[in-house]
Amino acid sequence: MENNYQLSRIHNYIHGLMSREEMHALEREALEDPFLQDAIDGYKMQQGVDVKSLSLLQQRLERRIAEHAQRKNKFYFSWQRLAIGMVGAVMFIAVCTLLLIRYLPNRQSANVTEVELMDDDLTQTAVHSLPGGDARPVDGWNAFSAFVSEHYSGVNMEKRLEVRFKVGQYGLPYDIQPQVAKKQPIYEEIIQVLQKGPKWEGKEGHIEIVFPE
Amino acid sequence: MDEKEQLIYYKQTGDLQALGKLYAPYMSLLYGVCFKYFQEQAASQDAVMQIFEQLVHKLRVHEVDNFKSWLYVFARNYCLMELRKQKGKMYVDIEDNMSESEQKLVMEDEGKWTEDDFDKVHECLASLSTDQAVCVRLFYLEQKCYKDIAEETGYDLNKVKSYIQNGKRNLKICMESGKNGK
Repeated sequence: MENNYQLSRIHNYIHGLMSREEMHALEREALEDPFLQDAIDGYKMQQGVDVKSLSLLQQRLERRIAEHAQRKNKFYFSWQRLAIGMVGAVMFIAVCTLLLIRYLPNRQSANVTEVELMDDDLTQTAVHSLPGGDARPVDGWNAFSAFVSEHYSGVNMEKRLEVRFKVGQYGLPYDIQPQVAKKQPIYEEIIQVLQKGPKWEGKEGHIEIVFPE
Repeated sequence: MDEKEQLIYYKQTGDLQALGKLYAPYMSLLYGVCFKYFQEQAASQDAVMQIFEQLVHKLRVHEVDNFKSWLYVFARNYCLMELRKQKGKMYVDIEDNMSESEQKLVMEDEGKWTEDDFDKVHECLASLSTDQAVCVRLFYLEQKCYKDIAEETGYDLNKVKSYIQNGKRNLKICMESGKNGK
C-alpha cells in the first residue's frame, strides 16, 4: 500500500537510512505536499515511527466501525418497536372514539325516556281501591287523584300509603285510619285531605295512595 | 472504486465501512500531523479518531473534490482548534504554516517555461535574501538534501527547511509578478 510505503520512507528518512538522493527526493515531494511535510515533522518530533501504536490505532478504527453497525441495529430495532407502539396507540384511540360515538347517542335517548316517565306518572299521585273496600269517589278515581295531588304537602317518607275508612250517610268519610304510624305528619294530613275531599259512594273504604318519588 | 467514487458512495449511503476504507490509508500520515501539533502520543491518537468522527457527519454534507488535501486542511484546522481550546499550549509557527498552505494553492498552475522564464529565475534568485538564495540554490539546482545543506552552510536543519520553503514562495511571487507585468 502507498500508505505503508510512505511510512517506511518517513521512517528511513528520520533514522538516516536513506541515500542523499532519496532524501532529496522526499524533501522535494514534501515541499509540494504540506500534508507529507507535516507528517514528517510530526514523526521527527516523536523521534521515529511507532508501528505498533499505529496498528492499534487501525484496530481502534475497525472497532469503531463495527460498533457503529451494532448501534445502528439497536437503533433500528428500537425504532421498529416505537413504530409498533405508535400504531397500537393510534388504533386504541380510534377504537375508543368509535365506541364513544356509538355509545353516546344511546345514552341521550335513554335520558329522554326517563324524563318523559317522570312527567307522566311519577309527579302525579295515583289513588286506587284495594280489595276489601267498596267505596269509590263520586267524581271518579282520576278526579280524586288530582285532588289529593293538589292538596298534599309533599312532605312524606312513604311511597305507598294504605288507608281504611267508612263512608257516612251523606257520602262523607269518617273513622279514617291511614295504615302508618300516628306520629308521622302524613297521618294527620291524609285524614284532613279525605275530610275536605269529594264525597264517596259505598260503605267501606280501602284505598291505596301512590305518591310520586 | 477510486477515491472520488468512494466519497460519493459514502455521501449517498452513509456506509461507515466505506468511509473507513477511505480514511485508513491516511491514518499514519494524520497521526504524524497531529503529533506535530499535540506532541503527545495519546492526544494525537485521540485526535485521529476524533477527526474520523467529524468526517462521519461532514462528508455526508459536503462535496469534496480532492480528499487528500481537504483532509489535510481539515485535520490541521481541527488540531489548531483543539490547541486553542486548551490555551497556552501553542507550539506552532504560524508563518511556517502559512507558507505551506499557500504553496498547495500556487502549485496548480505550473505552466510551460520559456527562455525568458529561465532568465527571470536568476533575476528573482538574486532578489532573495542570501540565506534563502543559498539554500534554494543548493536544494533545487544542486539537488542536495537538507542535511547536506545544513552541514555545508552551518545553518540549523530546521532553519534550512524554512529558508527553502520561504525562498520557494518568494521566488514564486517574484515569477508571478513578472508574468503579470508582461
